[in-house]
Parts: sequence; structure tokens; C-alpha cells
Amino acid sequence: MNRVFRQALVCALTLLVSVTAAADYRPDVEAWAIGALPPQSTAVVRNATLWTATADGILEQADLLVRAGKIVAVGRDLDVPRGALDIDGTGLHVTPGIIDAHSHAAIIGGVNEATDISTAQVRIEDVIDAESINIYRQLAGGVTTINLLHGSANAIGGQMAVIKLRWGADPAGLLFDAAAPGIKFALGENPKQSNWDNDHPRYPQTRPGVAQIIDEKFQQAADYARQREAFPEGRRARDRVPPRPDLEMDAIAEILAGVRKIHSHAYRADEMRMLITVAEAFGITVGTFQHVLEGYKLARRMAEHGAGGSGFIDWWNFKHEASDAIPYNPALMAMAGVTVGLHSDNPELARRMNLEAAKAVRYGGVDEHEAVKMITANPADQLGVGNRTGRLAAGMDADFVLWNGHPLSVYSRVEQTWVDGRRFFDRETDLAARAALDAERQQLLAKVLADDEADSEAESEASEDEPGLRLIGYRESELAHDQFCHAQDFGHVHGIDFRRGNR
Amino acid sequence: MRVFTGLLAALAMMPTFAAELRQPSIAVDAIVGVRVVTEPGTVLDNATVVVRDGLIEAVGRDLEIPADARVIEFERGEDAPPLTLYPGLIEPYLALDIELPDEDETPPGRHPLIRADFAFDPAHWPAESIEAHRRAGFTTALIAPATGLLRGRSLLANLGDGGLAANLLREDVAQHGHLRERAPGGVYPQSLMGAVALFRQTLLDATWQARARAAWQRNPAQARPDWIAGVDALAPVLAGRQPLVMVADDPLDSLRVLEHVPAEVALVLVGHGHEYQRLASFPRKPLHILPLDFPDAPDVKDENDRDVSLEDLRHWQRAPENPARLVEAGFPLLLTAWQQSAPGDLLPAVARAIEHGLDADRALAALTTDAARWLGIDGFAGRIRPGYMANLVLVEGDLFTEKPSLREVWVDGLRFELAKSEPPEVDPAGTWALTLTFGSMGDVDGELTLTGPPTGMQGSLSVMGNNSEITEARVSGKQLRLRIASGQGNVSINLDIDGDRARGTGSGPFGEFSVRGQRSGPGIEEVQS
Repeated sequence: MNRVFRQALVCALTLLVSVTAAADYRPDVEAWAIGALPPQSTAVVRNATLWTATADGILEQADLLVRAGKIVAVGRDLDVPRGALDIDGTGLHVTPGIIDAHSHAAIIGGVNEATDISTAQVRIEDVIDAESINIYRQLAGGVTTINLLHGSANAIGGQMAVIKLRWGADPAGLLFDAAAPGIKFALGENPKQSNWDNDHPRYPQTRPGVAQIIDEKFQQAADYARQREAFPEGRRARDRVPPRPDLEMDAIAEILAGVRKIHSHAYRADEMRMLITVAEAFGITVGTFQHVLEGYKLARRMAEHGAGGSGFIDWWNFKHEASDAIPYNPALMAMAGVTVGLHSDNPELARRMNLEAAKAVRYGGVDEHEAVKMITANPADQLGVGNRTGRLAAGMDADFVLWNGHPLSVYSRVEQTWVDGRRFFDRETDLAARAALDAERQQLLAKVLADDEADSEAESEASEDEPGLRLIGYRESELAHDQFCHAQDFGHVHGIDFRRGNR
Repeated sequence: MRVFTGLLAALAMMPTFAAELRQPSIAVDAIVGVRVVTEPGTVLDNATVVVRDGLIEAVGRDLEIPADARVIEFERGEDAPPLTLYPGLIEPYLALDIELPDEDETPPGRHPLIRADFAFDPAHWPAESIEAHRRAGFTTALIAPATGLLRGRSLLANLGDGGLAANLLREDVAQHGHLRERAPGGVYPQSLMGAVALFRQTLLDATWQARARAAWQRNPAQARPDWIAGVDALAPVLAGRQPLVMVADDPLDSLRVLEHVPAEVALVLVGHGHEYQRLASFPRKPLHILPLDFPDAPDVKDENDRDVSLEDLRHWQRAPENPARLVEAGFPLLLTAWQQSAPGDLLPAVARAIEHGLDADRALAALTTDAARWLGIDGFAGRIRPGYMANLVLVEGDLFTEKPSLREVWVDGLRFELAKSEPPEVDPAGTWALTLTFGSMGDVDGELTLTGPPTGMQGSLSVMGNNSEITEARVSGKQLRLRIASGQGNVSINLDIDGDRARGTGSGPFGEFSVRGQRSGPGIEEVQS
């Protein structure tokens, strides 16, 4: 089938599926409307099963004490301060908050700046969508921290933003200040534009070209940093033309200085080996490979270099470069000593990350506690926040989840999700709030009808509008440009592509 | 008679020759017996305003009317609301799209979205938009470029006829920008984060270029820095001497702009109406130019058609409270008709905002004195006070009502009558012989032909062999109002019809004249048969 036609079909189907899925969907909660954040409670969960994600492993009939946003103690029969919120954890399991190291779930105005082979100057932190309903929905799946990544359209993409899911906070308040600076790279077919309409073909069009351009950009940034450093200070600088500041080069120079970590989209072993080689030539370490389908072929080399692996467990064959994959990949990489995490790359999948971990038990026999670490402690370490979140231990941020059963069971669900010692999601509160939201809605509908009657002559012009292809329940901001469809000149058909992500 | 040939040709074929002729001296007018709101909170009943040479000469009760004044008086019924004279309204954001050059035409050294050096030319004068604003009560506007990421400099003008030359008050008033813009032709940037990065880079470039060029000029014995077009115009903005007016799309965009514009810049936000949602998050309280395009009520009459979201319902309810919420939170506020489907929709929207808590004097100040102060013209605009420009709006009753009835707008002492139409009581169809009297300069004959029913007339005006299409012909009560539009201004004629006789006045960019007429040809029935 003609490629362009096929992609048009994919875009059209995407839209269709989204419309169907959205038909019964009404956004009810809005981030701005929650007013103040939930209070930072002193709280204790008593007599629960704690999955610590530390050397302590799984603690039965144990207590968890949190105060002022931090975990104060983990253990049995803890001394509990008077007035602490007391949660009976009998029969409940507690895990650290889930960390999704690959997400595009709360980005506004486009996930890709796809125009140049390097757009290191662009920053996800400038476009965080604090109103995205995904934040609340993912809290309901036990997620507390996500890494918002630029897409994979270019070899050197934008700077990433790690956020905590503090539903209701503004973008600056969502940012996780402790996270190590990072940047998206991409290897393989996407940066060489092989699936696009090449109205604007650009260098490179081959895998060796991708290697070459990364090497070239590193050299440019090294030159840039040298020039900046060599420029004199004070009075001697007065009559000298200063080097022009360049935000792209600033970011790449930070990579070379080891301050900014690379998180690179990659499927194939050969291209991952290439990036390790280029990085080592510049004396730097790749932070993680993302998707990392063929990681099992390269696991020892990855471990030796120090690169983490952040992947899917059972998702492949969506294109040729993503074909040689096995579900045993996370287990095999972990056996070789790679820090392994599992990610969503998809706002829907992100609500069921516990089941991704469960699959690592099924495929490769990963220990259950180790499997939970693949969605908590390990991605936390990959993002440079392992000393702040991802584990249940004294001194860590109070980011944790209460499950009504074994966290790796398909029958279990999240009862409460806490971030910084604030209970941002509580199943009971949510259920109770639905009645209030419905009442508010009915009240407003009644007001509209009353106003209509009072002003029956003024026929609403809005009612004449053609309904057209409108995604009910989504704000315009959520229907951000999808580069894949956009590059095909289907710019007006903007579906929410839940399936594709930026694979 | 020959003296008049050019003048009349100009009337008929505006604007060809008018510039070559001396303008008649501007009249002295005394508007008497009206209620005058001289500024927000100050009202004079049954007062007089004397206008001379485009300026207000005197305001007050019991004024002595100058002997040379044309006295403008209004007949009012017992129960009619008082005619009220307000200062002309000031539109702080009249946005004007400017066509971008083709991508191929963008030379090296110029990013197509970085147009900070753009300035308007008389050819850009938006005569139609100007007239629409004037009909809505505006007499002065900040005309701002609306294309690009950094869009260029606005100018301040009165909304009279005669183009930019006759109306310019201040140029180079503010710099304008909007982070939403995407580059034409698929080049960088195509995402919001890309636009933000380009914005940040451009501010850095502006600072760097000033320093680099200065260093090279002092010491040319070194590599010459590349020159980046457009960014030098940002110097006064970065120094805090010229305001930067940024359009924000939503609350998160407002916060984004506040984060990326340095605190020393005099930032002004053109708002979006959702400010109430995250007011507490604003790190500063910049001046807001607020549109009032409140959403219509969703159509929920049909029970099966109620898939309107709670989000939409909430905004429908709260949007009219937004201006009051901003004021309450301590934000300085101006109002704009921008985003309204027509400028005339602003006043009813202001009335709704007042119903929802906005102080009426504050609203009037936002459109007059406060706007004038921000624009640096409060010494001669925004009030009805001696020495101020004679920019006025005359309204039946109050300005801020659901259906405001604007009678007249005065710009620089020139009178534009725009009373609301009444049902036609006469049918002026046919051919009319007109006599136009230009003060002491004498009379000229013309021929007016009108066809169609009084509610939808068409026709033409022929003077000295030059024939012009009538742009608009309306019959209101016993009055016939004609308008002939052209690029540089409008000719309007108002005639009182009495059987086959007509009397009235007319005005154009070249001054005012009086008209007498006699129907010579067949009326509508005869034409149709």
C-alpha cells in the first residue's frame, strides 16, 4: 500500500477511535478548580505489607510514618505522634509511588520540534500542561513522578522535564527540582525522517549520518564552550566581540560537561553501540536507552558503560526496526547488571504500570520485589532522584501508593496515592466527589435553561454551529499537533494518538 | 463654477483630488443641553460643551455660547433618557494582521517571525476597521501589528477620516509579541516550546548584538560579528523604556510569558478571559488588556443534546466575573474590543461585567483615563476638559447597557452622526436633483438615483459627470442616510425627506456642506412597472 495513503488512514482511524472513546467522556475535575493543594499530613499506615524497594525487601504487618512531606520511619510498632492521621492498612499493600521515565502525557503545543536535526535549545519545562487530566488519571494508577520527554523526530531533541504529579499546582510547582537535567536523543528511522513526507528533507538520511551529526554537534559544542571560556572578563572584555550566546550549544555543552544526561530513543543494538562509542569518545556516559528493544543483545556493554535501560516489555513489531524483540529483555538486561526500568510512553498505559512490572515476573522470572523496583527505585535512579523518591525509607519524600491487594495482580487497584505527604488521590473521595460534580453540572444546566427562558428572544447563535468532527471532552490544548500526522499535511486532523506515542 | 470642478470630482470619486484644495476652516460647535460625563465619576447635568478647532474650548453649565458657534441642540421627549456625552473611548489593542513574506524571500540574517523592527506605513491604514471602531464609540486606538513572534511597534492614532497623516498621535508606542506563532513553510519553530526557545534566544541576541557591535566599532581589528536583523529594535524594551505587549492564550500561557519576560521589562498582557482560574499563581501583576468575549450559553434545550462539559458550563458562568476578579486582585486593567465579532459588541459585554461586579467608573476609566495614561496622552485625551481633543461619544442614556444607543461620535471636533435606525416612514426611491452648498464657496448640482425598497436601497451619485456607487443607503424614520466609502475616507450625507423635497447636511474628509434636493424622476412603483 502506498505509504502516504497508509499513514493518512492511520491518522483517520486514530481520530475515529478517539471520537468513539470520547463519546461518554466528560471532564469533571479541573486542576485549577481544586483550590489549595491537599494538606501535608502527619500520617501513619498501620499493619500493611510494605514493598520498600530497598534492601529491606517486603515487610509484612509493618507501619509507615510520614510527616512534613517526608517518610519518617518504616517498621513495626512505630511510635505515632498524637493527632496523626491513622490509616488501617490491614490487608493493604504499600509501594513507593510509581515513576514513569518516558511520558508525553502533559505537554502542550507539540511534543516534537521536528524542524532541525538538533533542537537542544527547546525545553519541555516551558510547555508543561498543568491542566492535563492525565495527571489526575495517572495518580489514580499509582504514578507520582513522570519524565516528560521531547519526541523522537530528531537526533538531538529537547530538554526533558521531570514532574511530580501535584495535581492543581502550576507548571513551576510541578517541576521536580531534584531531577538531573536531561535531554532526549533519538536513533534509527525517526531522526532520518524515513516515515515522513520529505518536503523538507534534511541531513542525515542514514544511520551512519545520525552518528556523524551527533559527533559533529558535540564538536561544535566543545568549540563553543572553549570560546566562551577563553573570553576575557572585566575591562579587557570591553573592546572584544563576545561569542554569541546560543541556547542549543549551551545545552549540548552541558551534556559534554556531564551535567545533562542523555536519554536516547533506540531499538537496535547496533545503533545503541554507536551512541556508546560516540559518547565514550567525548568522555561521557549515556543516561538511558529508551524502548531499548534489543538491549538483551548488548546488555553487558551497556552495564560496562553505565547506561540504564528503560523499556517496553511486550510491545514491538510496529515497524521493521522494532522487530527483533523479546519479552525477556528486561530480565536479561537486569541479569547483566543494567539498571532496568519499565515505562509507558503512553498516557493510558501509564495508569497500569503495575501490570507491566507483573509481566517481567511472567517473562524471565524476575523476583516480584525486583519487578516492583523496575517501576519505582530503578527509574528514580535513572532520573537522578533515587535519593528522593522511589523507595520506602526514612528521609525519602512521602510518595507512596496504597493498593487493595497484591500490587502485581490484575485484580488489585489503587486506593490512595500520596505525593510529598499530600493525599492527591483517594478512591473514596473521588467517588464522593462525583455526586457533587454532577450536582454542580445540573445546577449550571438549570441556570442556562432559566436564563434562556428569561431571554427567549435571544436565540443562541452557538446552537447554529455545525458540530463537525469535534473531540468531546478534550480541551483544544490537549489536541496538540502530532508531528506524525502534521508532517503528512493532515494538519487539520489532529487526533489524540494514544497508541503511537513517539515510538 | 470651474473652481468647484475638482472639489466635486473629489466628492464623487474620493479621494482623488481633495488634497489639492484648501480645506474649509473647521467650525465652532456648541453642544448644549446634554448630560456630560467629563471623566469617570464626574457628571454635569444639562451642560454645554464648546468645541473649537478640534479641541474642547469650554465645558460647564450656564456657559456663554460663542457668537460664531453652530449650536447643536436636541429635541427630547419628556420621558426620554438624557442624552449623555462621554469622552471618546480608547481602544488599547486594535490588532492588524500583516502579511508575512514568502519563506523563499526571507534573506539570511532574518528570521521570518522576528519582526521587532516593523513599523506601520500610511498604506497599512485600516480604514474599514477604523470606521467600525468609531461606530462603536472609539475615537483613539493603539494600532498593533499582529503577525510574528516579536511583531513590531504599534502606533497611536485618532479614528478620524483622512488616513494616518491626519490622525497620528504617537508612533513607536509599544513592542508586540505572541508565543503562539509558527513559522511559515515548515521551518523552525513549529511547536510552542520551539517558539519559546526562539523568543529566549532573540532576547539574548538583542543584548549580545548591542554589545558586540559596539565592541567592534571601538576596535575594528577583529572578526566582525554577524548582524541579526530586527533585534536592535528591542533595546528600548529591554531597557524598560518601551512596553512589551504580549498576547496570552490561556492561564498557563500568561504564566509562561511572565516567566520568560525579564522583570525589568514593562510587560503588558493581552488576556484571554480565563485569568480567574490561576490568579494566585501570577508572580507579578502586570497591566492587562482584557477582551470581554464571554461565551454564549450552551444550547441545552434538547435533553438529548446536553453533552456540554462541566468545564464549559463553569466558564460560561464565571467568565463575566473575570474583569472584577482581576480588579479585586489588584491588577491594573484596560478593556479591548479585540476578539469580539464586532467592536460594537464590547459595550454590552462591559454592561455584563458590571452586572457581575466590575465597578462602572472603573470600566469607564479603563476605556478612557486609564488607557490615556498608559498611552502617555492623558494630558489631552480621555476626558472632556478644556484643551483636550474634542473626542466625544453621545449616547441615549448610559453607555454601558445591554443595547447602547450611540447617537454621535466626534473625532478631533468632527461630527459623525450614527443614530440607530427607525422603521422607514418614507420611500426615497427615484431620481433626485441635489444642490450642494459649500459655505461661502457656492453651489453645485448633482444627481442622486436610488432604487429598491427603503430597507435595501442601492444607487449612485453623479456630480459634474463623475458617478459614484452608494456604499450604504439607509432610511430611518423620515431620514435618508447615504455613505460613499473609499480608501481614504468616507462621504456621508443625511437628508430629511418631505414628499419630493429633501434637506440636510453632508460631510467628507474635506469638510462639511449642506444639501437641498427635489425628486425629479419616478418613485419605486413607477420604476417597477
